[in-house]
Amino acid sequence: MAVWVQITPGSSEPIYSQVAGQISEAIAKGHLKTGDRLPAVRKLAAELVINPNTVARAYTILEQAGLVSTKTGSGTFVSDPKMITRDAADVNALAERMDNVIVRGLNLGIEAKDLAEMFKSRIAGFGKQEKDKEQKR
Amino acid sequence: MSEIVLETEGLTKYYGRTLAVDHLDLKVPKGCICGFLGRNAAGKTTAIKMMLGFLEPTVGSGAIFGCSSQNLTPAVRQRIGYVTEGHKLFGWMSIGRIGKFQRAFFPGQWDDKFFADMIEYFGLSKKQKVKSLSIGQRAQVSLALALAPNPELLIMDDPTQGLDAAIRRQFLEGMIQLIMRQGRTVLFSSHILGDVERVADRIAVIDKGVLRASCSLEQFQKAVKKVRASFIGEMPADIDIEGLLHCRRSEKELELVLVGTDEEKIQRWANISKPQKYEIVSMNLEDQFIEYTAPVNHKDLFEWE
Amino acid sequence: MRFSALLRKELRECLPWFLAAFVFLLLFGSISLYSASVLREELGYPYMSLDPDVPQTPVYQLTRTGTLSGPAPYLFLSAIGLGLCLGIRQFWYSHFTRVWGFELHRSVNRSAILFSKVISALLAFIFLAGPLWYIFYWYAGHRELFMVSPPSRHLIEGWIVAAVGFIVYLGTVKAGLSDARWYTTKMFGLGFSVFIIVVVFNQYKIGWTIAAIIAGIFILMIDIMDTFESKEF
Repeated sequence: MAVWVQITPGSSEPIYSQVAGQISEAIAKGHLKTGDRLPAVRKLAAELVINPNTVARAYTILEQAGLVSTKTGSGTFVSDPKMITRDAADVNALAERMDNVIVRGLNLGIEAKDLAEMFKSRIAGFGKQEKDKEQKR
Repeated sequence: MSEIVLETEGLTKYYGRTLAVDHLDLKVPKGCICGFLGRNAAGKTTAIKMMLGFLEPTVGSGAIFGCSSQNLTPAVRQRIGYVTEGHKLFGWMSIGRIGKFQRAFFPGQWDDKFFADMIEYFGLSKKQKVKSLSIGQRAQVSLALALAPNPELLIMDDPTQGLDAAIRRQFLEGMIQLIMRQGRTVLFSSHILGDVERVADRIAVIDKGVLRASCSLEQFQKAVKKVRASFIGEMPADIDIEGLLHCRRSEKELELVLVGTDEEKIQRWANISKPQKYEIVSMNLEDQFIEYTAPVNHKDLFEWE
Repeated sequence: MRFSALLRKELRECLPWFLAAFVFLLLFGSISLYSASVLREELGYPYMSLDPDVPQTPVYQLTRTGTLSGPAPYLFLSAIGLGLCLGIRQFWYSHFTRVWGFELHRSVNRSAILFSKVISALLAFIFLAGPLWYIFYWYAGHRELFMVSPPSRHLIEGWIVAAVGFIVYLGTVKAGLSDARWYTTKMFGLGFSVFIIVVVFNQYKIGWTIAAIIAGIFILMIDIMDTFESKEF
């Protein structure tokens, strides 16, 4: 069930961060849709062979970011992305990251318009996976 | 504040003039998996033996469930599962027989079905004699014997040393399964950091008998940092920054290992020392552990400070 | 339930050594008795008697007087051998195999673990010397086979020899528990056993012999209990 979460111990990223990161990526790519229930903490911990507290920590991070919400007794569910509150600081931080990527691209000698194309095709790739899932249904 | 299940106070052990364990103050709270990390001969086994009352401390004391380590009552021992270093068991007994032997000491707690299921899962038969088993298989039996009584505290002394990856994974799975039951605690010593990183909440780092760290795994991972700074001009002769553990110099580069120094302080040092550029290098747990337990004045390829 | 689990384990571990001693004694003791009956040896040495007019001989003369002088040395050997083997098996072997951690982490008092070992050894001695020596004694009492029946005292003296074997066992245990180096004081336990044996065998009155045995066992046991309770493993 949780085939989209794979952890690598021995990497410089702490495990809770890896789990949170991979779940957010899965949400972004559409593997997990709004309303989908995340696996129970214990189940995921047993599957990944990691401490349940680590999974709980990852879920807390996701909840703080607004990506998921926990209903006591029922579980943790993927939130509607439209419901996420983002403030100016979040958006600015994102803009800065984008700037970094653009700088690297330009430094590599890629032209601005080619860079824009790259962005577009990569985003389309995220959406494509969602479309593939829809078609399979 | 969680209940403390195992604690030591100034636990010290001298063998003649050799100091094996130096004033260990460890507290293991209930419900956590505590990884007891240290290099070979750092004092882990000696410390564990003192906690379980098999060795007498020269100074200091330990207590489990509030009961002094030197006088652990049978009732308290019944709540503790212990996996010994090397998984030594009675060779002449069959697996079934040693299961029955163990069962006699945990009346009311022993889960026979669980034991039988585990033995079957490992592909072993109850008729096999322990002496005919490989070390990996003996480790599996050892694990089954320790988990079947559903202990409140599981202490494992270097349980996965010399075992293959599949069996190491089984031990981790066993630990996770146990910790998910209410009120269980695990203390295991290891120097396989990948395993520790997976399952531990807390770590205790022991180096040459001294407890160098006792905190959550996350705190440790956040605290130990490496900064690499390159200089065009002159490098500062003195490095004045809080939390400096090691410093390595080469011709144009400075590598600092810091503990507990936040980014602000690093920035401030950079403002004073004016490197051309600097970056906080990411480290994995193994790197952090190696740096943290490296001798302070070791020589390497670079000049040493 | 716990103590019986410990005892059963110890008994099973003693079993091979017990069987070896039993078979050894049965075989050689029987052969010597049987050959004595066939040869119809005249065995009219003065033997120990409660009659004050009869000259007394010390206990070690058991091996030289009476019909049972045939199997007596085999009893002596098997008892000493059993004592050494059991002491080593129970208290020295664990050091080599390093199972003390597993053995000692039990929900019982440490003394229970010690007693399960000592009692199993004691039972081994009782079942070695008890039936076998009695059978030899009974067989040697057949008037039609032997000229002189052994006095009942020889029965008791046989059991004294077995007790001596038990003292050797305790001495081996004490040596096994000692942390000293083998070339320093480690063997003092065995040395003490030998001392007790010499005392035992040089008594002229059986009362003193038994007293020496009891004293020897008592001293060794107290020391062993203390050592085991506080020993570091």
